Amino acid sequence: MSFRDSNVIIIETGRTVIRAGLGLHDLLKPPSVEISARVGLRKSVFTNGAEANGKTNISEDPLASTSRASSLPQNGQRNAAVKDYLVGVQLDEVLATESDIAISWPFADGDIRDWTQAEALWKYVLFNQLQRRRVQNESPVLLTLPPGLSRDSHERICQIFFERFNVAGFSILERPVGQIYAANSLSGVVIDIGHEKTDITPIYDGFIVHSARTSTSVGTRDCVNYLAHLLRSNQSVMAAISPPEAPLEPNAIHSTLVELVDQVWKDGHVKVPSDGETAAAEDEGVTDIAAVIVAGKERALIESGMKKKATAKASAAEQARLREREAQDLLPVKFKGLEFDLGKERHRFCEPLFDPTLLRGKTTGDATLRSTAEMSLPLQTAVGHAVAQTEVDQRQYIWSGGLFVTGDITRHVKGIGIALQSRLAPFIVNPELQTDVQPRSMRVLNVPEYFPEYRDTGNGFAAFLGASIVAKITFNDSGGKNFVSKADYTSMGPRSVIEMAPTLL
Amino acid sequence: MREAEQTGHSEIVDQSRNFWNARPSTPRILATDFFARVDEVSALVIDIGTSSVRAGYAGDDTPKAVIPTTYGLLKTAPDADSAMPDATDPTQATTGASSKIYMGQFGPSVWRAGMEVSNPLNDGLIHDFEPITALMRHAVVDVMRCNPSDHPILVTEPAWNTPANRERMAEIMFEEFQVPAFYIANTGVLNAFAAGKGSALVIDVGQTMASVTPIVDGFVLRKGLVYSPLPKLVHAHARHILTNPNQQRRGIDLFPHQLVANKQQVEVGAPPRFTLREDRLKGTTDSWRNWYEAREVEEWIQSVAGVLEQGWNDQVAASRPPRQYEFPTGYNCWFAQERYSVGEQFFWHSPQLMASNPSLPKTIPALITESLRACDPELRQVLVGNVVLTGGGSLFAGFGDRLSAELARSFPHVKIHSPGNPVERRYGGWLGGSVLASLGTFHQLWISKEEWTEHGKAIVGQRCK
Repeated sequence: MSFRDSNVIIIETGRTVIRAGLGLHDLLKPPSVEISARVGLRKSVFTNGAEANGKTNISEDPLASTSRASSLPQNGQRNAAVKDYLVGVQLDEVLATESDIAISWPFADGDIRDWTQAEALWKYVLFNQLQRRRVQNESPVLLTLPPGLSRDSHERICQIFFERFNVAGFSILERPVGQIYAANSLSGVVIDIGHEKTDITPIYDGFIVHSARTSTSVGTRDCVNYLAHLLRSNQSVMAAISPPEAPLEPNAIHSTLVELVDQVWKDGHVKVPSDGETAAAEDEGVTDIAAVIVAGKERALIESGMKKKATAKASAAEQARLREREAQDLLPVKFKGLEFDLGKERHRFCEPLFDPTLLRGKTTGDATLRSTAEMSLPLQTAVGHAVAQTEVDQRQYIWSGGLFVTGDITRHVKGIGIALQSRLAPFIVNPELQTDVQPRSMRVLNVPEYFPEYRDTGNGFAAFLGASIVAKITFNDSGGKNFVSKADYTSMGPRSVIEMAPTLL
Repeated sequence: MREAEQTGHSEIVDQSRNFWNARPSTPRILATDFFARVDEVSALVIDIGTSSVRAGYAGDDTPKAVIPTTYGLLKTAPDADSAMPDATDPTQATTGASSKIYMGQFGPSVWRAGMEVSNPLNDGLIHDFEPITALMRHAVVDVMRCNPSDHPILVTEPAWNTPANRERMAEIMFEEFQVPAFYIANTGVLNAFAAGKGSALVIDVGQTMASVTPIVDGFVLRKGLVYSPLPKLVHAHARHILTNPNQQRRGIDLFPHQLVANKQQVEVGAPPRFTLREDRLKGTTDSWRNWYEAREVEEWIQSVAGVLEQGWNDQVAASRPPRQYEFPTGYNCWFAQERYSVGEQFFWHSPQLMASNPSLPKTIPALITESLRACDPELRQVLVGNVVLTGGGSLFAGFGDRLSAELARSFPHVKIHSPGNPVERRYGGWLGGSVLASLGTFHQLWISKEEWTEHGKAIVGQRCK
């Protein structure tokens, strides 16, 4: 049995975000659905729940969890049903008005912390966002999951999808495998920078080297906190957000700064210093019209051309001022109705990734930025170490296969891969060495140019792209043994997924 | 009783033969094939070696969890500076120092100030069960994310394991892990099973021990079992070559990556230009440094060292191309003849060396001769016709060829089974356990929790031959 491409569903389950899309197109499209991987539960509904569960860790301040300054909470409720959980838009709306909500992030650990919550999220994506109907569900689903889940978990997930969601076919892909496929490689290291954790996965010849997988506790959160901390010493910013006549509370200052930083990096104003990637040939006067049209950037090009002409006409004094601003690398920011300039310090955003000790002892108002800094390895150490755990003869293929840095941060911040590569130089031997065992070269991978729809998203959607590629191959193969069909499920039960999903064996 | 078990075992041997004969050419499909015959709950197999602990599902072709057996220990000494008035309490002073154990791929190998490393195995035998429990728990619960109380567990033991040790293992399994059923099997037998053989001469070269075990119809022939810590000697020899200066070069520093801040590219044989991480040197313990330098030596051996196929010959050794190798300090040089002298230690010791050191471990040919001499003459031909070469140490370049050359000198019909797939070679014991535990007829051999409660430790010796 084969499926129509337009019916295929891809659900990408990350630690803090779920992405999904319906249908495979000739040009693979980015996900159409993106929701936070969190669920909410009205505390009033389960008044006795908090006492019943000793581990409940309800964050009283909804702001704390939305600003995501705290570690992601998990509130297990044994007696809660799927329908009790608030998900997606519903949850956002309720959070805006009520404070009586317990938030949980069921996937934040890289495992599934609560099955009911996981089901609630997937159900919402399938039936609410993608408008499938349970009764006549003709869609096969390819689900991506964090690597290394137990066999029981895989079986249970398979059971949920067939028995609760009535899918027409099902397969599982481990996220790093999808990510490396998206980068058009079979070997390499996938570095997935998440909100508070970074997962590092060496892959050899299409298979994850599970024994060398690791994660380190640095993530985007640390970068944001770090830059927010740096901005405290920026007079113009502080004067704008906390004017002397109406100073903000110390806590409020930090959360405002965090919001500001979030805005700045998501707008793509952050560069990683000492990289070659951002020095793109864009403004060298030569314009490759064909490339521009393929990328769908005609309008942007025309606009920038207009702007150039406009500036040419501007007065000499104006130009001098602009040049000066450029030299100082000042960035005008509009934030909550305020306008001010940000300087070069914004490019220090990524520093904590390479040196988590920067965060040690830095305080924001009254709370220490993080207490786990001593437990987290810098990215380059963790990556070098992870690869060193693979077999001696695999390493050169993994290094030369490439570093692939992905995660939300890479959608807006370019050049982390290059910065990482230069820091990993000690692990590479002299390129002139006569050896067929030791690694002599390393490259940095990116999502290739020939996925036009993914050109503006950096490497951020790599897992989804990889899953789309796999889905295209898997579900189009009528004699395929790489997914569980309804008939397989009926005859073999949940166990079928272990045999049918190629990466799980 | 004994009779019944005999038949039970030989049935299994037959089954395992059939299984491997019908085995598809690509090992990846293996697990699919298996499931039709396996019970609903899959058993787990744990194989504890000196270098690593392997754990996985019975029926799989590779272990799911492979973690180093060596672990790190960080003693958090009571703070001397804190002026605690009740620090005079004697129990506080002696036992108050709590320690933290670091396990897994990111345990001992990550540099930590003041962390000692140690290994709970001595000559292949477990001598310290406390970390073993922690290691097994880590492999099964943290890495495989399984609940051990849901799965029967098969554990392996070397042929020279002591009864006390296996009973202790059973106790841990039943009392601490609450397993529903348990079995302990001999790595020699399992390696033979992994090769699809009921009778074999298993040559197992591990990280610290080399052993020769004759297996007849699924049982170890105890009188023919011989072993020696030969791999240790080979390792020491390699380390000696590297760290001691010779005519061509000075002694090589084996600083691991963790202690090197940066290095510069230098010409071949030129003194390395690197800076050490001074901040770390002070907190580095001798045991950690020693262990990590041993890893560097091990990597050098795997990348460069070899053994000549036809025995030592200066001309042949000189005619082989030299190999270049770069150390973490950036120092690199060519290794010519000396890289072959390392492997030679497995097969031949000079008379001077033997005279100077009477307790020298026996070479592989000596072990084989001794083992076969203890066996009945009619068995010898069967055994040399079914030699199984296994263990991570046997992956040494040229080892298999040299072994067959050595054996061919004394026996007319030698057949060596040495899997080309390094996983099968390294984890042969685990793989055999995986085969055994997933066979239908194996079920009668499990020791169930009820039997354990009823009979106690005695059942282990009775059931697991």
